[in-house]
Amino acid sequence: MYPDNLKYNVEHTWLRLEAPTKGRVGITVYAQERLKEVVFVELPDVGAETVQMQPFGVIESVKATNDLYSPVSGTVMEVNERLKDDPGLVNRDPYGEGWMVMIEFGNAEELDALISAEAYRLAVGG
Amino acid sequence: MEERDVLVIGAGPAGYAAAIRAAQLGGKVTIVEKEALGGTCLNHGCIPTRVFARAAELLETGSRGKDYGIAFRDQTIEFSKLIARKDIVVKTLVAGVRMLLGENGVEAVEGRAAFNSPRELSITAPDGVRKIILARNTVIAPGARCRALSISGGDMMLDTTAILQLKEIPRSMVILGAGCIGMSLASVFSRLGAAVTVLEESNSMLNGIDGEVVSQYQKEAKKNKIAYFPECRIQAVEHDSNDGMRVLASLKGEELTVNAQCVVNAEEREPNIEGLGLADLGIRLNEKKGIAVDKAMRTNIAGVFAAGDVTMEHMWTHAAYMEGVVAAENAMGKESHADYSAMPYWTCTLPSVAGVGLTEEKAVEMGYDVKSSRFSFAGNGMAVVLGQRTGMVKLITERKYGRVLGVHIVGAQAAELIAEAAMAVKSELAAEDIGAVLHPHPSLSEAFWEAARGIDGNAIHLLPDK
Repeated sequence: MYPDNLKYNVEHTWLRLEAPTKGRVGITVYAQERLKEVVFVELPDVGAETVQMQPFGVIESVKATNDLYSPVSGTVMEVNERLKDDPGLVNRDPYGEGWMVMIEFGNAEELDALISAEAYRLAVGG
Repeated sequence: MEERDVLVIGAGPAGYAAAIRAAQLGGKVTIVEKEALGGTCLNHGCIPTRVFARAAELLETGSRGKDYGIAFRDQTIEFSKLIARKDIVVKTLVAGVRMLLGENGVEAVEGRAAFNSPRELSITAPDGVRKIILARNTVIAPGARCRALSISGGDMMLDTTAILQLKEIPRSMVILGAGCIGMSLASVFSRLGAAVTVLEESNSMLNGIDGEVVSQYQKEAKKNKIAYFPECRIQAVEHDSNDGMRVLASLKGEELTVNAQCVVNAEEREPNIEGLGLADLGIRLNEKKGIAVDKAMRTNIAGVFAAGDVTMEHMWTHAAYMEGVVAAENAMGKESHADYSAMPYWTCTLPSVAGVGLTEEKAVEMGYDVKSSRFSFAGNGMAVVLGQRTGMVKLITERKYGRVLGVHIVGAQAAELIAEAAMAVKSELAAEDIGAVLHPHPSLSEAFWEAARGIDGNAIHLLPDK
């Protein structure tokens, strides 16, 4: 459910480091299950700045509209364009094809504020 | 000497409603006002605030246009034009009051009124000319005003009147008080571009409003970028060379300093009772230093009524209207009582909040066996159309008959939606009754219908509990 090689925040986003200060971001299985069918993902443009624990986008599902909270402060390097035509990727493959943005961040210390898979699992009640 | 059935002091909502109602009942009525007709609400309160909120809504609409394929390119605020618009709105409504009074045969007099005795009042015109009027009944409705805080620099703070008369949008502002007025002003000015900090003495925002609704509002309001400090006691206001003002406060024992261009007191009010001769008349005041009244809006002096903010009790315009009407009806020999059981409240925050009747906390405290229901706007078709899916309708009933005790809404158009809920609470309808009423589709009002159906687990657009 929650891969060990990812870092999480309590707002249900994960970060997969692909370099010491660069990582891919998406939402967890728990979040997509709660949202049900995702119908739209509003993502920032490449080059936009993100702030840790501040919204970087919006996810809209058949059930709700929610903000997407950035795990780190940095610059958006890449955006998953495929979500435009196929937002259901978030439901089908939340840790893979359903990724949202790639962020390059300056302050690696911010990673300390993120939690482990185990801590996230406990936070969402198992 | 001129004689009147009813003399009304003050032409705000309580006063002009009283005057019109007394005239409808055949009374010979004079209303005396020393400033503009319409009182605080029209000139310095709800109406100007709501005009600013309208501007903030249009900005928001503009920024969301792109979701619908419409680009609003030049989204700048020309504050002087907004002020001009506000002045037109106020002028229109004030003229409306003047016309209504005139067409109802009410004599409107500019000046100050003072009691010589319970039946005799002197009216002093602006030019100093004085005349005496004999009044069978008087309705005292001069309203209330902001009260300066008795702290060092308290007089440097702007009151809610002054904040609505600014010539430009401040870069930064501190607002004292996180009640309905404070949060509405905070929300509006932050959307218009000011950096807003709210300091609240108690530990809760929107105190007295249903806790669940407030916490949902707070969650949604996080991105409004309003800095909010509860349990914060203000100690002094000083000049600051950089930004204009500096607020010194204590936050849970720690010192807190906030710099801002202006500081607004949205909390303290006091009644306009000076110069009316009330002490000589022997009018009794209540604990809040307002004029004490009974349910018929009678003071302790026969033939003398009071209505509106001067009682310092229910400081909402809609309460003032009712109180004015009740006072007038009793003055004209009918039996009428004020009923606050279905008193709506509202804010023009983003999202907006409104409610009526009991909160869940209050209902439990009063010993009701409470059953409540919620319906999220995320499941409402119209909310999806509008792109405003955040928020919910919460309905509180007593379990046995399903009677609606209170309704609280956070989300788009909350203040408009609450009117139907007010009717339900006032008419003691059961949730079932509301569930049986057809609500137009698609409309936000369906969320109220769904919440009512939800009391018995019959909401349609809600995933079943598993």
